[in-house]
Amino acid sequence: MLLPRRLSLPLAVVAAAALAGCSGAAGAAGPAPTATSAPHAGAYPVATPVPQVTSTPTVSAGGYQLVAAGDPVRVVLPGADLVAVVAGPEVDVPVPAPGQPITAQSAPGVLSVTLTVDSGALTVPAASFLALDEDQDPVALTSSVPEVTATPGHPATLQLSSRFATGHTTLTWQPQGAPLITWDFVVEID
Amino acid sequence: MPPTSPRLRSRFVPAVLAVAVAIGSGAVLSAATASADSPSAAADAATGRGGHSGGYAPPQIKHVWTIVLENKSYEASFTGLNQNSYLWKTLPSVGVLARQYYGTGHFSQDNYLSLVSGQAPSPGPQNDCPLYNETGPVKQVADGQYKILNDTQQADGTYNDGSKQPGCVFPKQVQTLFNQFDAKHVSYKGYMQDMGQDPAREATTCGAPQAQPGPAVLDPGAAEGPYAAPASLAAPSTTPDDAYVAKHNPFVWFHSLLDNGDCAKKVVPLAQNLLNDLKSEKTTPAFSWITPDNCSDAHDATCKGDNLSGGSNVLTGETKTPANTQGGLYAADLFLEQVIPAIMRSPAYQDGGLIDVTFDEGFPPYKIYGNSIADKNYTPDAGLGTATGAATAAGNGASVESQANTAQSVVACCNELTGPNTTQPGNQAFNQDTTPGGGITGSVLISPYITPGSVTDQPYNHYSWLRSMEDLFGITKGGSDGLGHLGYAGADGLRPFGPDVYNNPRGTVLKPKPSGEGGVYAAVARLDETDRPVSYARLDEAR
Repeated sequence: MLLPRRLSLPLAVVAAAALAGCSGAAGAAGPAPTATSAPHAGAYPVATPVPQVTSTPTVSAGGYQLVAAGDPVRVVLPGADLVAVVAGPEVDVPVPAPGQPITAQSAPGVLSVTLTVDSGALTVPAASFLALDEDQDPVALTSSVPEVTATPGHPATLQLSSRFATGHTTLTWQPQGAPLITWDFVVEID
Repeated sequence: MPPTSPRLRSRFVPAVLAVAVAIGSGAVLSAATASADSPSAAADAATGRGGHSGGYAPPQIKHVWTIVLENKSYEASFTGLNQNSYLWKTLPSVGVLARQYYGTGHFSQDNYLSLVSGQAPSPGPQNDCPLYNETGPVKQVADGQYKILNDTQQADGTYNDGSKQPGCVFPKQVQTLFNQFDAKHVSYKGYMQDMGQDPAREATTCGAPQAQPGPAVLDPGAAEGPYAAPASLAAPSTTPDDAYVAKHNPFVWFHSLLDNGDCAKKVVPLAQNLLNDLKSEKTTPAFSWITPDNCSDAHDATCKGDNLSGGSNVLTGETKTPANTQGGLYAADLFLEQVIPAIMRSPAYQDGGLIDVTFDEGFPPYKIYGNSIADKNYTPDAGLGTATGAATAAGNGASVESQANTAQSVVACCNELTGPNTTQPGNQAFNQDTTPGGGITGSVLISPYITPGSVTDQPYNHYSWLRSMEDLFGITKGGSDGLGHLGYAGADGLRPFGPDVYNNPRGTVLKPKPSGEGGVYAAVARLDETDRPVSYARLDEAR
C-alpha cells in the first residue's frame, strides 16, 4: 500500500512518556542527568564500524583488477614485482567569461601512472594504456615519452594527457595485450 | 571499501514519478489523520513541550545532532548500490530509516536555508550563492514567508544592490531555528569541518566569506556544483587543505544570526571542538549542527584533499596521508564512521540523544561512486515522465543531466508550496517540472527512543524536520502558525517526526538489528506492494 499503517502504541505508554516532563533541552548547556534521564543511560549500543581489511589488492598475469583511481594495486609479473597506482586526472578547468555559466563538456587533463618496483625491472610503454569514456568510446592519450622504466628505488611515473569529457571514465593497463588493471574515475568540470 | 563493479549499474530500478508524487500529495492528509489519533493533552505544562503538533508529544530528547550530507538520492545512499555499508547498513541497524524523506529544492543551499528557517527556495540560494550578497529588503507575506523585494534583474544586468547575482543574505527580520533557541535559552553549536583552515577563504569561526555581505563579495567554493552559476565569477575553489564551503553553513546567511554577536562563538571548526564538547552532558549543546566538508559530505566525486582513508582523525584534527582520493558516499562513510560512534558513546547521547543523518537534496546518479555528475548512459523512460531520446542528448547540446532519469530527484512531498520568490523550488532541475521538488533522499535517525532496524514510510521533508526540532525543544510561541513553527514548518497538517520515528518510547535497550528485512528497498512504494518490510507487530514484539 502507498501509505503506512500507523504504529499502534499503547496510549498510556506514550502519554506517560510525554507527561513525564522534562526541563530537557532548554538548559543553557544541556541538562544534568536527573530522574528524567533516559532509563538506561550508558547502556545503548554504539554503531561501531566493522573493521575493514585494507590490504592492497594483488593481480598477476592472466588476472584482472577493477579499482578506483587512487587505489594502489600490487602487480606480480614475470620479471617484476611492483605497485601501480593512477592519480588524477588533474583537469584544467575552463573558466568562462564573467557572468557566463560553464558550458564546456570537456577539458584537458593529465593522468599520472606511478610504478614502484620492489624487485626486478619493468619497462612500460605509454601505448599499453587504454582510456574509455562512459560511452565506451576510446579517449586518445598522449605522453611526452614513449615508455618509462621502473627499477627498485627508482619509481617511474608516466603522464598521460588527453581531453576528458565530464562523466565516468576508465583507464586500463594492458601490459601484455590483455587487460590487467582498470582504474575507474569520474571527471568533473565545475 | 572495495570498488564498485560495473555490474552494479544494472541494479538500479528507477522510482515511479507519478506514484511518488501521489504519495507526497497524500502525506499531509495522512499526517492529519494519524495525529488526530495520537495521545492528546500530552504537553508538559511546565515546559510547553509537545502538544502543539496534532497532540503528539515527542519523547524527552535532550540532545540532537544533525549531520547534513550532499546530493544523493535514496537509491544511491540506502540500497547498497554504492557499498557505503556504514550509512546504508550499520546506521539503520541502530535506528530508523525514513525512506520517504525529501529535500525541498534544488540546488543545495536553498535546502539548508529551508531547514533552519522554513523559508522556501529563492533564486540566489538556488544558484548556491556565488556571491555573498544581500537579498535587500523583504516583506512578510502568507505562511511566514518573506518576499524578496526589488530583486529582479535590472536592464543593466544587475540586481537591487548592484550585484550581478540575486541576493542571498536575509535581513534581520527573517528568523531561524537558532534565534528560537536563543529566545528559549536552548544551547546550540555549529561544527564545520575544515572551516578556517585557509583564512583567506573564510573566517575561522562563524565561517562567513567576509565579515559583511556585499554586492561583489565572492563566496568561495560556491561554484563547485554542476549547476552552480556562474562559475565564471572565479570564486576561489576548495583546496586540498580546506574543503569547507559557506553554502553548506546555514548560519552565515541570516543577519538575525550574523548581527547578534554569537555566531563566532557558536559556529566553530569541527576538529577538537566536537570532541571536547562531547565529554560531558554539561558541555554538550542541546542542539548540534554538523557540516562535513565538501569531500566528507559526499559532494565531491574525487576529493582534492584528505578523505580520511589514510587514518586521519577528523575529531582531533590529526592528519595522515590519504590512501586514495575517492569521494562520494565512500568518503561520507569514512567521516560517519568516526563521528557517529564518538557521539553515541557520549554521556549526552546515552541520556536521551538523537542523531539525524540526512541529505540536502536528491540528485542523480544513483550508481558507482554517487558523484554529482549525471550518467550519460541513461535509459530514457517515457513512463517515468522523463525526457526521451538519447540522440537528443548527444546531438542538440542539451545538458546530459536534462535527459537523465531523474524521477527521484525532482519529487517532493507533504504538499510543499512554492513560496513567494520562485515558481519552481526545484529550479527546473534536470529539465523537469519541479514546482515542488528537492528529491527523495531518505534519512536515518538514531536514538535510545528509536527501535533499531526499524523503517518508516511516513513522508517527511526539511520543513517537517524544522517543525520536529521546534517541538522537541519546546518552542510553542511565534512563528507562522503562532505555535512556534517558522515559515512552512507551520503549514497546516505538516507532520513532525512522530511515533513512527520514536517507536521505542520507553527507551528500552535493544540490540542492533538489520534494517527491515535486510533487503534492498525501492525508493517509493509500488502500487502492487502491499506488505511493509517491517511490520509494526514485529516492532511491538521487539519491545
